[in-house]
Amino acid sequence: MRDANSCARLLALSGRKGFWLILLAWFAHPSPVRTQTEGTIEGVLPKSSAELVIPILDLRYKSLQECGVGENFHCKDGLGREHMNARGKRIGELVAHLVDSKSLPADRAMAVLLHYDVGPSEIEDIRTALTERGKIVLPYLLKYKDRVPRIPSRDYPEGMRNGREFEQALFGDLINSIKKGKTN
Amino acid sequence: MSSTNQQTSRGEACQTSCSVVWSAEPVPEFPQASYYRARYYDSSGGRFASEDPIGFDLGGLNFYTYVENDPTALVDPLGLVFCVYKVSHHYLVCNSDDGKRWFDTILIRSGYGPDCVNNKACEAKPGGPIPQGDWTFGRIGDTPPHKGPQRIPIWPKSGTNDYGRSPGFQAHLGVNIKSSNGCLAINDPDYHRFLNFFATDNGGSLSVRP
Repeated sequence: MRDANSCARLLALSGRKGFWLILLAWFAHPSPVRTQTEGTIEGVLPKSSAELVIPILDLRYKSLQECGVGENFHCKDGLGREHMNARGKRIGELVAHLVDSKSLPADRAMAVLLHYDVGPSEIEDIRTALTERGKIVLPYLLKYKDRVPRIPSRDYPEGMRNGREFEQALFGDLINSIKKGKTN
Repeated sequence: MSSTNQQTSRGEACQTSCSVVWSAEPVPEFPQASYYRARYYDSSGGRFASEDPIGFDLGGLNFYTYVENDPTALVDPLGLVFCVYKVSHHYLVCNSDDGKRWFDTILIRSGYGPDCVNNKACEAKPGGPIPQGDWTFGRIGDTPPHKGPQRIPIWPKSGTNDYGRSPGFQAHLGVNIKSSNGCLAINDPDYHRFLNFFATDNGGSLSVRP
């Protein structure tokens, strides 16, 4: 019944101006099968932070699509490896720019990125930058510690996440360090 | 800086003495020996002279054991630095291109948190130590801009299974004493000693072993 209603609504919308443009945009964006864990989604990431996060996560997502991850990884050499390395270099540059930004949208973006596997040194740089920013980032860390915001027009797979245990450790250590007034 | 007896080829031990030992402290009583943080390297014998005092169950392990008793076979193919990182012992040992300079440290961490630091079982996970296999050291500073001392990128060689975790591995100064996210984080003073050691060849190979 619900499906029939959805189809009817879709047909009705198809006559409206801009419908096909929206549909095209929807198909152009990554739309992986698996989404963020149920019950952990917290609101929508504001546009100003989403604009900083999306280019990084899109690159990571492309590598995951092409090469897999963890035990399913299959780009130990060849073209896939080269593509992955090139994307990795770009991710490194984008994260370097982000940690240097020193703005509230960047702080929020960094807190959200702690949930994603964007590279070992990149996560370390984000950790260091957040620690240096100090108490100003605490609200973001506390807000996103247990929850991942929905990223507008994206639905990244679980495989891009750092894993619950690691994420908890990252957030927990950072929050404790900042509360104690540590700067590195 | 002079050497009384130059080596004839990479990997051979010095025949009489090597005074060019940049990464070690000279030992006045034993001119042929240099103190390498934790033990002595006898340049006349071309190998570590003392037992490993680290306290781990190394079973008499030295560089010769690390390179499977064939130090001339396990070298960097481009003639640069060759290093072995033993994850479970958090021990890094390196040989320079000319075989005259050595570096080793235990002030090193790879992996995050009490469960995954230097724990091979975590190598496939984000936050685990650098996965075992063969890696290439890039050039010093060939990394995105960042604060602090220069870093060295580490790329997987063809065939190394990094589980899709890299690129992004680096050798860098250990800021957090307890852990890294998988990078080779070397605490000072050893990190700056490593940079000095590495700078001459500025590139090389890394073999990561369990």
